[in-house]
Amino acid sequence: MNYLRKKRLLTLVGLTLIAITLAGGCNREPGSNESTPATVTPSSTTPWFTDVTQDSQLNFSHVRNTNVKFWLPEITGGGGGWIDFDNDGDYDLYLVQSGELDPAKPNPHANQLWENLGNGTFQDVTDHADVGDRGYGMGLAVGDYNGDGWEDLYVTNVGPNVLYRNNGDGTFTDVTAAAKVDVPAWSSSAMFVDYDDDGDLDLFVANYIRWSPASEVACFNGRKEPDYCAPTGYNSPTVDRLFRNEADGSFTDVTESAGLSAAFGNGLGVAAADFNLDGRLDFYVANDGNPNQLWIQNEDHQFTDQALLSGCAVNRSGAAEAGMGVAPVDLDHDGDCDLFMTHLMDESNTLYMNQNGVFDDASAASGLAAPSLQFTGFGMGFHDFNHDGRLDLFVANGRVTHALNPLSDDDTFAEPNQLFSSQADGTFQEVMPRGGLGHELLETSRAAAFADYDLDGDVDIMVVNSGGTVRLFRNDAGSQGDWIRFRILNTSGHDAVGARVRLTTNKRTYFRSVQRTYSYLASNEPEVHFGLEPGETVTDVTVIWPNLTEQSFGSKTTGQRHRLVQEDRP
Amino acid sequence: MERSLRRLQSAGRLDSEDPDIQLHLAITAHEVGEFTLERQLLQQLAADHPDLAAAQQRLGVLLLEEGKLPAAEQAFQAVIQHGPQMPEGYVGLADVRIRQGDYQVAVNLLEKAIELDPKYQGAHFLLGSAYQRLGMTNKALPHLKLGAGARTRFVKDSLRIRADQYDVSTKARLARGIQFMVDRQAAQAATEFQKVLQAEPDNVTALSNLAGVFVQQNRLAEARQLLNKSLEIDSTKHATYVNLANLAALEGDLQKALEWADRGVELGSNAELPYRVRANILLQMERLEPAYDDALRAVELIPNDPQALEQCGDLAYRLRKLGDARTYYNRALRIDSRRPIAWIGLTQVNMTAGQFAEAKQTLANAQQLAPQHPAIKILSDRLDRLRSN
Repeated sequence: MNYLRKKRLLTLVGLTLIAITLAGGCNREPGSNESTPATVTPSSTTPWFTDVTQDSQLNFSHVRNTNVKFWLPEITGGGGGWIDFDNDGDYDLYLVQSGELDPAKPNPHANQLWENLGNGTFQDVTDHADVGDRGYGMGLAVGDYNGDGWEDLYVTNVGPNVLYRNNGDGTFTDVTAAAKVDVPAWSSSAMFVDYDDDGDLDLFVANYIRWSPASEVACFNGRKEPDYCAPTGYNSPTVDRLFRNEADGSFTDVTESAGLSAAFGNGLGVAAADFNLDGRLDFYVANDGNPNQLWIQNEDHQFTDQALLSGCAVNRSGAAEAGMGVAPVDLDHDGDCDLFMTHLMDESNTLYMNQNGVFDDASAASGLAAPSLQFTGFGMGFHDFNHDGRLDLFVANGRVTHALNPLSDDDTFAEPNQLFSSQADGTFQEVMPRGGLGHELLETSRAAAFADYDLDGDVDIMVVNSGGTVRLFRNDAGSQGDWIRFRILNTSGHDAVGARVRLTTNKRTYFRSVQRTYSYLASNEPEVHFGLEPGETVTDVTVIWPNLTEQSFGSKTTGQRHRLVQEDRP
Repeated sequence: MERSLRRLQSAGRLDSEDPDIQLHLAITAHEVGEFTLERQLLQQLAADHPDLAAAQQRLGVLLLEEGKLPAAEQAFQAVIQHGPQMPEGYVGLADVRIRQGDYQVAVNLLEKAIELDPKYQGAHFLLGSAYQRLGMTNKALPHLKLGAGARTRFVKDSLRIRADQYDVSTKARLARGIQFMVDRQAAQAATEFQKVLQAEPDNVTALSNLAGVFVQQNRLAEARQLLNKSLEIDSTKHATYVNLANLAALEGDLQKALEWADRGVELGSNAELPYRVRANILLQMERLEPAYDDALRAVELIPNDPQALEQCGDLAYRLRKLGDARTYYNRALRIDSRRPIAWIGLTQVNMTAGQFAEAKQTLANAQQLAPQHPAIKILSDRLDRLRSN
C-alpha cells in the first residue's frame, strides 16, 4: 500500500496548486441593455393582463435584507403561492418574506397570509391565522399532508423550515418538530407529492447550497464593485431531502435510503412527473450552475439519477447552466412530460422535449431560446391564457448581479417579464408590450404563481418581486374563448399530483397533468385548466392515474369546474 | 442601448475596415448583451469576409440558438472550407445534423473533430448525444461523461492569437502553469511559474506552485527553499503549509508533517485539502480514527470529489467499517466510473466480506482501467487463493 500512499500524496500536491489560484473575484453576469427581441408579435390592441394589485388591496413588499451585504440569499428570495386555506373554493395567497439575514438579529419582517374575499380584494389575516414565520424565507409547498380535508403549508427558509398544520378554523399550528421535517439548511422549492403511491402526501425539499454568513466570499462585478457571487463560487453543493409520510402526523427522512444522496447540486426548482411512463413518479431538480438531476424511481422506491443519459442534465453543448425555475408540461400532446426551465442571462431558457424518455433540446426550434438570452428567468408557467387551445408561456425575469447597463434607474436588477403566445405551428412568439400588460414593467421578479383567483375560468398570475411589491395580474384575454377545469383527486382525497388528463374534444386531444409545484419558489392552483376554442365540445375526459390505471369520466360541460375522484382500488 | 452603441462605435473607429476589429466589436456586443447588434456585425463580416472562420463560427452558433438551421449550416460549412484543421466547424455542423435527426452523419463529423482535438469536451458531449439517439447507450455514456461541463468553444481569431503570443500577464501565465500541472507536464509548468517570478519575485502563488512542481520532480530541497520564502512573504496561506506538510511526509518526517498540516487546517478550515493531507499523514502514522475524521470532514466540505470519497473508503476499510467503505467507493464511482483506485478498494471490501464473485467483477473493472497497477496482481493472486480455499 505504500505505493498507493505515495501516489495519493503526489496527487494532492497537484490539487493544492489549483486551490491557491482559484481564489479571486467572480462576476456572474455580463451587462445587458435593451435590445430588440428576435421574435415579436405586433402590439395587440387589448393587453392580455391588467395589473390589479392596487385594486385588490394586496399590500406586501418583499425585503431582501435590512442591511444589504451582498450575501447570496439576498438576491435569491421572493416566493409565494396560492392556497385555499379556508376551503371556500377560491384561492388565497401566502407570501414568503425574507427580511433580516443576520442570524444574530431578530427579523422584523414576517410572512403574510392574504384571504381572498371573493370580490376581487384580499385581506391580511396573518395574525389570526398565526402563520407569520420570521425565518429568512424562500418558498412554500401546499398540500393536505394529514388528510383532514384542509390544506397545510410548508415554508422553506435559509435555516429551519416550518410546517403549519391547518386547524380548519382559520388558524394554523406549527407542527414542524412533531412532523420531523425541520431541514436546518438553505431550502428553496418544495412539494407535497405521493411518490410511493400509498395514499398520503410525502414531501420533497430542494436545497440550494450549504451556506452561513461565515462562508460568504467577496465577489466583484466588471466595474470592480462588490456584487453577488455565483453559487458555484461557494463550492458547497448539497443534497435535496425526501420525507416519507408515516400517516401518523410524522415523516421519515428517506433521502439516504432512497438513493437521493448520490448526487449533489445547487437545487432551486423541482418538478415531479412520471417522465419514463413506468407507473412511478420521478423527480427533476433544476440546479444553479451544476448538472440537473432526473431522479428516476425504481420498483423499490429507490431513485437513480438518469439526467446525463436522458439528455437533460446539461445544455446541448455539455455545459451546466444556472437552472432556476422548472415546469413539467406536455407541449406536443404525446402523453409524456416535457421540461422547461429558466436560466441566467446569456444562457437561453431551455425546452427539453421528451422523446420516449430521452430529452431533445428544442429551445431554438420553439422560438423560446433567442428572446430569453438577454434576461435572467425565474418563475414561469405554461397555460392557455387566451383560450385558443394552445399553451402560452409567462416568464418572470430579474437579474442577480449589478449589470453593466441597468434597464431601470431605480433598480439595477430590474428586467421586464415576458409573455409568449403559442402559434399553430408549435412555435412561440413574444407578445408586446413585454409581459402582456398595457405597458412594460421593469422589476426584479422571482416567483410567478398561477391560479384563477377571480373564478372566471381563466388563469391569472401573481408575481413576487425581490425587494419590491407583489403584483397581481388579472387575465383579460381568456374571455375570447371557452374553458373547462378539473380538480383531480385520488382515493384519499388528495390532489393527484402527476396524474395525467386526456381530454378529447370534437377537434383534438389534449394532455395535461396535475401539477401544484412548478415555476420558482411557488405554489399554484391544483386544478387542471383547458382553454378551448369557441364551439369546441368535450366528448371524453380520461384520467391516467400515476400508477397508469385509466378511468374515463365521459363527456363534460365546458365553462364549468368538475371534480374527478379516483375510484376505490380493488 | 445608445450608450453601448456609442462605446462600440468609438471602438470601431480604431479601424472600421479591419475585420479583426469588427469581430471584436461583435464579441463585445455579445458580452454586453447586445445580441441583435452582434448578429448584424457577424452577418456583415461573413458577407464581406467569407474566409474569416472565427466570424463564421460565431455566426453559426448564434444562428443555431435562433433555430435557423440552413443559415447555420452555411456558416459552419464555410468554417470547414476555410479552416479544415479547425474542429469547431465539424462540431457546429454536427450540431445542425443532430437537430435535423441525421445522427450517423453527426457521429462521423464529431469523430473527425475529436481526431483533430481529442480533448474537445463539447465534441465528446455531442458525440455521446448522437450515440444515445442511435440507441447505442454503452458508447454514449463515456462521451457524455467526458463532455459534461463543456463550454461553448469559439475559433480563435487572429487578434486573440496575437494577444496570446504576447500575453505576459501574471494571471495568464499562472493559469497556463496550473493547466500544465494538471496535465502532468511539469517542465512546461515550471517554465511558466519561473517567468512569473522573474517579473514578480514575491508572488506567493507562483512560489507555492513552483514548489509543487519541484515536489512532482522530486527536487525536494528546491521545493523547501521556495516554500520557506513563500512563508516569509505571507504566513497566512494555508496552501503553503499544506505543501510543506506534503514535503515533510515525503521526506519521512511525519511529526513535522503533522505540525504543518495542523497549521494548514487552522488557516484553511473551510477548505477540503488541508483535511485530506492531514488524513494522509495520520494514516501513515497509523492513527486511523483521527485520519478518518479528517477524511469525513473533507467529504463534508466537497461532497463530490471522488478522490476524497476514495480516501474515506480506504480509511473506513482499514477501520473494518465495510459498509461505510463500500458506500464511499460507490459514491466515487457514481461520480466517475473510470477510477481504478475505487474499483481496487471495492475489490478489497468484497474480498474481506467474502463476496468473491463481486470481487472478481470489481477487480476485472479495475484491471480494464489500469492493467499495470501493482495492486491488481497482488489482489488477483489473493483472490485466487481465497477462492481455492
